[in-house]
Amino acid sequence: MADLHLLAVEIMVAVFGLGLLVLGLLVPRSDRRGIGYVTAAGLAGIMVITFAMRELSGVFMGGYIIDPFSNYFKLAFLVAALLTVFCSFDYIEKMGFNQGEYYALLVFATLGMMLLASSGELISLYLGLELMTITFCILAGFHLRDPKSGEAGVKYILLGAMSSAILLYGLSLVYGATGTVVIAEIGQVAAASGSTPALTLGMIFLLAGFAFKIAAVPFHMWSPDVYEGAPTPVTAYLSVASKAAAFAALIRVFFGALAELHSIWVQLFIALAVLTIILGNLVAIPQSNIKRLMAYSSISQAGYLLLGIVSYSVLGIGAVMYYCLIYVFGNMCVFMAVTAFYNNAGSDEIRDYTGLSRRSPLLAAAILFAMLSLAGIPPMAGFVAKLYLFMSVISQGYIWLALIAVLMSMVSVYYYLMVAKSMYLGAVPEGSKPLQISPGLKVAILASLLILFVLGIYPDDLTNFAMNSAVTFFMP
Amino acid sequence: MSELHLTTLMPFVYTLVVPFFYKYIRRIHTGWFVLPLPILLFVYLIKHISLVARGKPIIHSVPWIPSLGINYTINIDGLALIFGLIISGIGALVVLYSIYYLSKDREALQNFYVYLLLFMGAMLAVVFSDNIIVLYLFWELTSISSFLLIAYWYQRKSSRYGAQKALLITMFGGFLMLGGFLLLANVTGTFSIGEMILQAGKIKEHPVFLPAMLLILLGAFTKSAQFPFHIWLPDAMEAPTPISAYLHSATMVKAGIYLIARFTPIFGGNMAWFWAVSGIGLFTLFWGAFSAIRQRDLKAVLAYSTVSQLGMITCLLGLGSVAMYYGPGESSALYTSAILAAIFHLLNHSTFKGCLFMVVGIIDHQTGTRDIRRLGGLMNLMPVTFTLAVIGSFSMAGLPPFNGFLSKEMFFTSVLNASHLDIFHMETWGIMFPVIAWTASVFTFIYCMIIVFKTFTGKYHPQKLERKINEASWGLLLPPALLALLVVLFFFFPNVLARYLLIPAMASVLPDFGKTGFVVDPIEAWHGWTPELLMTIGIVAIGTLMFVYLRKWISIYARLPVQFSLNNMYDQLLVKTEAFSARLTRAYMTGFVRDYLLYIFAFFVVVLGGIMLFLDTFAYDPAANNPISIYEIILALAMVVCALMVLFARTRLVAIIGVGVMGYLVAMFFVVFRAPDLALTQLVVETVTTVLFLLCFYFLPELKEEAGSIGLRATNLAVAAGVGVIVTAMALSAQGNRLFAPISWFFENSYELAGAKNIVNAILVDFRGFDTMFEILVFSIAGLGVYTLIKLLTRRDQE
Amino acid sequence: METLMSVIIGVLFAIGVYLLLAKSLLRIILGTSIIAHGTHLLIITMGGLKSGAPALLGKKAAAFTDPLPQALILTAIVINFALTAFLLVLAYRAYLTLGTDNMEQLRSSKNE
Repeated sequence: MADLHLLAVEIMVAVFGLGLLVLGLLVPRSDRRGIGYVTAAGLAGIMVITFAMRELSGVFMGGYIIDPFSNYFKLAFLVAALLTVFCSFDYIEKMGFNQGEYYALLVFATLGMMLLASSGELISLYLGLELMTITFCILAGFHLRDPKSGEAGVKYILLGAMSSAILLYGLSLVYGATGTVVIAEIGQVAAASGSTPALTLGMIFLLAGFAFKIAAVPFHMWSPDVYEGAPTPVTAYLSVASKAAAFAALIRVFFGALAELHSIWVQLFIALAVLTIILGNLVAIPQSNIKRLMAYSSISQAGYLLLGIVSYSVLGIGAVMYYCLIYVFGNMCVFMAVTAFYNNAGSDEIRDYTGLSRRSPLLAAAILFAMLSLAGIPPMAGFVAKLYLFMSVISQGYIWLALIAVLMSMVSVYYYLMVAKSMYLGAVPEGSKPLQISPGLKVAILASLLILFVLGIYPDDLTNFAMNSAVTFFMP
Repeated sequence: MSELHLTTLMPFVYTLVVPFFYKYIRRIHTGWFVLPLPILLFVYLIKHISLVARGKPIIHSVPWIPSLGINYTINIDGLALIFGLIISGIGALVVLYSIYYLSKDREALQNFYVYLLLFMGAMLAVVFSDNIIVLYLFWELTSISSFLLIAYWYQRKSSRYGAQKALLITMFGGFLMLGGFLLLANVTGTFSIGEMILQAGKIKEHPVFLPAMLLILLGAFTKSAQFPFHIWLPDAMEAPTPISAYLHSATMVKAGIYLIARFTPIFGGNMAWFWAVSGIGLFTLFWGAFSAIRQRDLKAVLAYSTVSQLGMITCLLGLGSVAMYYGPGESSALYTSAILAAIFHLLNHSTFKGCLFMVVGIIDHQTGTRDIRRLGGLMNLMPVTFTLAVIGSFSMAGLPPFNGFLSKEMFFTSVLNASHLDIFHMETWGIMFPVIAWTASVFTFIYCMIIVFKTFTGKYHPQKLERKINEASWGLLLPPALLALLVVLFFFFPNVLARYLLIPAMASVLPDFGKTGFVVDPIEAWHGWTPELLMTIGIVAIGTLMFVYLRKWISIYARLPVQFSLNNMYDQLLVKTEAFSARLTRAYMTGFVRDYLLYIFAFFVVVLGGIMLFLDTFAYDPAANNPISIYEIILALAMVVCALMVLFARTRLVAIIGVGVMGYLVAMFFVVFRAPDLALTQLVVETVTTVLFLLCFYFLPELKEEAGSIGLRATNLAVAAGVGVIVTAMALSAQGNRLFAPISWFFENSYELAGAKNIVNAILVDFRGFDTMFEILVFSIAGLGVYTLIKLLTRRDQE
Repeated sequence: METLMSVIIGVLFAIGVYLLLAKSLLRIILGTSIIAHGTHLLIITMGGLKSGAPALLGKKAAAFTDPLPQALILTAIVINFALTAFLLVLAYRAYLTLGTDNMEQLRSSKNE
């Protein structure tokens, strides 16, 4: 197997995951905190290697594609995983989780996402999705003493299994219509035959399956409950990485296999995007729990990301790629702060955040600026990301769509502002102590904030890389 | 990076240093460290006056996002320069004033100055940027810094309310403006305002002209507090007074005016633009002046007067845009002078309003109140303040010998000219302009008199005040005094100003006219007994009369219905939106998995059914069917019976057996369909699953009768049946569309490549071995999950 | 034959969905199993029924059944098994912590 070097990253991740599992069994219970550090170091190492190999491209066994596009997403997953690990140190120690399994599962989820981003045919795509979903089901229910966590696990597995079934269904329909599972070949067959009923129906099922994974309206109902119930680091990882992975696979399938049908699916995605942006933002307003708030805000973010898909252009894909990474940093930054706050205060209610700016200026600033970025306010990186998305839809003539998106950003400012108001303008609760934040988490928060600023002021290298990777989807 | 970029970005750099000054040098008021910056900026900009006046704008460009063609281009032309001077000049005075206004011992000064510098830098960048994206970026930053400054005393509820209101309204406009910008950029293919102006003709032809124009105007109107968006400005008065003087009268609220002026070359000469700008401006002028009179708080009076004055400038810009319709030449000279008046008044307003705000700040600082009802008779106690108040107010009222008189006269000239217009339906509505303008000016006169005479004359009420009154320190008096000096100087030397500042600014608003040179009459105080002068005399006469008899007619304000007031509508909008979204959430986010599944299934039935019906994708061709044998019918029947058994099972054992039997039946189907591997796997898996079910169900409670209303069950049934029908329909129609020979490529080479005769096995372990590996991984992970959970549970039991 | 299969699949789905919408977690799990059966049958029906000999080389046959759907089903069967097993344990766990298997009560969060 001469091409095995193409799989270097995946193999490393898999071996690393297994290694962690073994390590969890070997290390005595008292020293288990070290496993977290090992995970962080390992992921960082893999990240560096992936970064060095970012221009690598090739196809493994006809159906597994390594290209800058997938490498970009793999880096994004690794970044998210790394930040999640930083997030987890104190949290899981407090919760008394099985550390070996916990970190190993995180790593396996990452592997599933990588598989999703790289798969060039439908079966490995399905497997990647399942690997990711099952891992998250387990992680979501990890919080044994909290009934909410159990609820999250049950809900995620039920609805997740449902969505997997839907996706599988779509895959088999597409296979039935074209006689192949390789994405590139499906594209060729479809181009030759035009749209057939079976292919169209398969496409709709695939669309629904993906809509589920990215939590687009009306397939989003699982996310608030699961986000609220799952352990916060898991929520963080679920909210960013699984969404990015689903988008990567979605782009592969819809731009690669189903490009022939784009006149139909663009319409469907427009409907999804509009519903998602409007509903996600509106429903976020009355939330009182910050994790639920972030769940709805994540839903609306998926709607914005869909704009890039709708535009069906290189600019659109590049925008989605850029947005995904910015979203990883923005959302992770908020969730890291939320975890740190929870570790101290034991609460996720927004009303308990009052006066946070004086109890911990760092956490308050992290939440504020990350939320500004999520809302797309300059000079944060989120602004540039949204700018790209808006430009991509406007350049395709969907002006009204851009206007709805812009207006709804206003609503998002409103609910983010409510949190900021509570943190900055509220009174410090009586008898509250200054917050203790572990140095690792502090560094991670600061680093993400810094990146959000830097990418807002100097986005060009990254966007160029994204645009260049996106070009491959429109090459004959 | 040019020197210009560095200079304009200096305030941001400075924000990083200020906290250190505050932290380590507490003895000296932090303001003293900040003060040099605006002064230096002011001097730096003064140096450029002569160059710009000669018609040579200063342009420097730095690439920012080259892939989108976005550069940070600084373009200092006449218009930008005049704003730059106001921002840095008034900025310096405000910083000086704040040193005496804010106590260094009690206030969080580092926040104050950091926010102030943020604002200053952002505002400079707004007016200097040629690139609309950069402009937008800093535009939002001014909104944010304004929010922070209004909420400076965040302990007060009213501060928080005002800050939030200001941010929501201005940011709402900002977002819309960004939408308009993107539309323009899409049409012209550039983000540079200068290049857009060159393509103005193309934009005018394009269908997005009107939406883009309206969106950009909404941005301008929200920022410049034009009706009906003006409601944020009075609430913004919760900010410390230096901030009100700076942001909310002299600079930030003029950003909207700047935007209108800047985009006049692109949109001007169009009827919609004319009516939107001058109409809204005119009404705002009236409404602001009318509302100012009922206010009790001096700062609220000033806030409404700012609204009104901004309306006047906007109206003038709208009237001046008519010149674009006629093009350069004699016929448009009447209207170009309206632009001159707008720019002149803009400058004048910054001087007299800045002065008045500082005066009110002094009154507040010395007496502890701004309530007109508690004030009076301060003239003898604070003579200098009184003089400054007279200068500012009389200038605002349009009286000589102050600069407000000149620009007010020019305003009257413009509205009188406008009444003679015979385009844009002005032949019928034109007369409205002088009438409303005059009425509004009467109200302006009245509130100016209220400011002066209700505070400084009449009876002094020491019992209503908490402290003893004396004149303010020189530090507080110097900045307004300097502004008052300018108010007088501008009156006597308006033409120097016109030559170096106003006419170059006009050239930026009307670039086509600049080349041929403007036909501009020198600005003079005395033109003889013109209609304008008569109008002013009328204002003074009627205004004085109405001021004297204020008590008789003030009650009309009480008759205005409260529930229709704009403030009430704003509050209601927020309340209603929150209530609506809470209701929406409750309606469908029930937390029940059943409901979620129901929605999803219902959605599927509707969408798929719809697609099958409308796109005509349903195809059924029984001819291609394979024949049915009796075994298969028996199998099928058994399957259905088992499924029904599960459905109606009363005990879990029956249900489990039902499912198990179904699994075996599926295996038999696999046998019939020539898939022996599947059959084997299915048999094994089914056996293990059944055992698992039995094991697990041992611990779980017995099945209960499903409670629930008939309606609930009927919905479930309907949705379930719908899903069944759709699935059948799909399965049927998918068969009608076979495209390929049903044998995949694995078949031909499985023997040579994999040495396997069983194709399915070859696929699994060889051709797709990679997938199988991951399948095993998925499986192991599920196993791991089971293991973890059970371990956790047993540990819990032991505890 | 295909028509018959399609109808059976439809019936299985309808019953499965009805069970899925029930309150008892047990019924829900049973429902997923039935739907899984339906899906597997659907995939094999899509791949074409009985159009040849089993996909075993060496048999003298003019045509073979399409092996790829079978491979897909095999994957699906295994994954479905994994999911079912995990779901069962989860149900057990939920029952232990909450004392009920009623999904209506498995809902700790407020109406939001």
